[in-house]
Amino acid sequence: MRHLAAIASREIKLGFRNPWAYSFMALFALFSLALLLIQSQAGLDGYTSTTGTMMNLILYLLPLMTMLLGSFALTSEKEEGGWRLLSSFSLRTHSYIWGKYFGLAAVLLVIVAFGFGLSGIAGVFFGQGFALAGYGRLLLFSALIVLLFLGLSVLMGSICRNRWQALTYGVGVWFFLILGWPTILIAGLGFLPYVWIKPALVALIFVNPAELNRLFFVVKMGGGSVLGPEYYRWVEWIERPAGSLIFAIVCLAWIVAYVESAAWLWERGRRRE
Amino acid sequence: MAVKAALAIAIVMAASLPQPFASAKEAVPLQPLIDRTVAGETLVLESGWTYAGPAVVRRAIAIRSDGEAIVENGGALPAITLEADGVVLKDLRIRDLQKDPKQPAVLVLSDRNRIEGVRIETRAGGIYLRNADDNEIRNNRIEGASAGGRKIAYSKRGNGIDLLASARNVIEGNELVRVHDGVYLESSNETLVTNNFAADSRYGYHIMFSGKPQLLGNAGERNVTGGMVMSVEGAIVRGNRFVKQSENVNSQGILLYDVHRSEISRNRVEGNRVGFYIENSTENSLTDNETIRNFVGLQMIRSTGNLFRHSEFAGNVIQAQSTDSEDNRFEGNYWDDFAGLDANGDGYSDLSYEIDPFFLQLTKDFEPFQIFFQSPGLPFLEQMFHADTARWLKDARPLMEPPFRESAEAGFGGRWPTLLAGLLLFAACLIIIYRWGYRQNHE
Repeated sequence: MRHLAAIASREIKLGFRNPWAYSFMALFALFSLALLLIQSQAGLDGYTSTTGTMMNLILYLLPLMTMLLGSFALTSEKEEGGWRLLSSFSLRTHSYIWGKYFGLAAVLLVIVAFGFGLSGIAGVFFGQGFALAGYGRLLLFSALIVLLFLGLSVLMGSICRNRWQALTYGVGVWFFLILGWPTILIAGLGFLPYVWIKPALVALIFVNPAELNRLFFVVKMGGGSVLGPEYYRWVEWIERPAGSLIFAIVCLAWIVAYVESAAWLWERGRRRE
Repeated sequence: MAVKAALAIAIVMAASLPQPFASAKEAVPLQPLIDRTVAGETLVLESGWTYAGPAVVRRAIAIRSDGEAIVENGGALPAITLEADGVVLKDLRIRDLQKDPKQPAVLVLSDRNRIEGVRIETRAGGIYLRNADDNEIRNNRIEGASAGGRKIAYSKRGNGIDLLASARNVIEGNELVRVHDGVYLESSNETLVTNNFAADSRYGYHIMFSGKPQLLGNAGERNVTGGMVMSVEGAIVRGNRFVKQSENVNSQGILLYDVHRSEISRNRVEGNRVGFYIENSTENSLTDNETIRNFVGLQMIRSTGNLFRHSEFAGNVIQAQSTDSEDNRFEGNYWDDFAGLDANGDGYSDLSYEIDPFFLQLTKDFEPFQIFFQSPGLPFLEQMFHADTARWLKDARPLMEPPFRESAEAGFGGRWPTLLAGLLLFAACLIIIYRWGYRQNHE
């Protein structure tokens, strides 16, 4: 546990030394401000065009940012020999990877909070402020996106050998999960027998943290009926308080699964050296 | 165990017994009082007393209460049936214990009656008109009883005000809550429905096969559908306001199905699943409507020759969708997601606004794909199918500024907590960056 905390605090230190973190912070802050200024009169109460657009822009930017920062933090240790040095101490791979995860999570959450803080303040001065509930909901949405994709990026970092490879993988996975997702699914599912399509579609949502998160928040904002009669039971189920709890458990399981498999891969690599 | 179960059943049965039956013994039978009243006279029911239905009115009398007399009814007949013309019912309270949705509390079979200020509580129907013309139904309140807080299925409720084959009636200022359809018109021509309020029901206002109905200045909230107009010609739907018809997967603000040559103007649909849903309808004029913060603003299927003018589409997640619909004219509407260009300064954009039917087409072919509603990857897919835009829904000269201003005023008072939250977040970030970023790296 002490090792884990040490690694995490080292990661935070490294994170804020990294110019990438600041450029992403600036980019996200700029984005939040731009969104604030172009938001229409629709407001953030419930599911409106503004909340829909905000969620989409968060989904374009945050996963890519998270995957690049996360996987670079791990591959740079391989490239620059940081890990070689650390592995000469009696440090468990497990503590190391989880330490990395928590440290990176802290850095990324600070980046998100910075952007939100800035737009929260600026909103009042530009006379286009948000209501607290909507603001908090989007903040929570962003934080969850960061935490889920960080799990994915840690796994990616332990698979990739160097930063170039991580960059390629990161952009590829981002394209697959965010931009190409509907296209790939609609094309791919066409090959399945008709009755399998919907179950496959639902199962695949749990594979993609971006869609899982987005749909959960759309339903929580009262937009569930837009998904149509096919998802009536799902929507009803998510709307209940127990829905949030189960969603939280799914998210947690997602993170644990990815970070644990990253640790396992990393440990295997360590034994082979 | 068996004794316990039997006891439990007995308790449940006792609880479910209609309670007013106990007092019904003391209730004064209404029919003899009515029979004793001469035509043209008024029967005054005393406040605080309970009268027992069912009763039939066969002479042109007035029945009113000098406060709030209660008429209770439990049998299989309506509490009050009007058979004579020119009857007045005023300021009564009717508690109907019937549960058959086909049975009303008040049944009108005659003409030129006036029902005013009557409060009806029932799990069956409210006021039903059958072959009854020229009646006035004003300022009544009809409330569907709830079964101990539980929601009763729509199909087990009766309609609030239900007209069949009845012409030229006026329905004004009524409140209809937790019923099946608030106001239901079937084969009833020239009905005037104004300033009513319908909530928590299936359809707020449901008009079918009726000529020239007028739906003016009504409001609806949290119904499955606010105003539903079906198989009608020459309807006027003006100045209505439908808010939050969004819970049900079939919800919409105003639904037009098989509607022709009708005027739909100055309505406001806000926060519904679909604002305006238009199917198989032709040659209607939709002008000066406000379509705000709906999930889908306008959805049009197989409809042609309609005119959409000077309306506002703002804050809708999807502004409009349309398939198999041609020759509809859109002009001078305001679309808040559109950045137009007004070169000659006439207030209208020189660039046209176009709407991609891709998503509606996709989900029509396979409904579960609705899960991709507003998915971030969807615009990317839509872009790839931009080949033929000739049959898209297109507004040739969109309005540059919203035509209605009052909706833009959002309260500012609630924004201060957000400022505080923003300041806290921002301050926390700066402290963290300074403490772990700057200072540790410069020690």
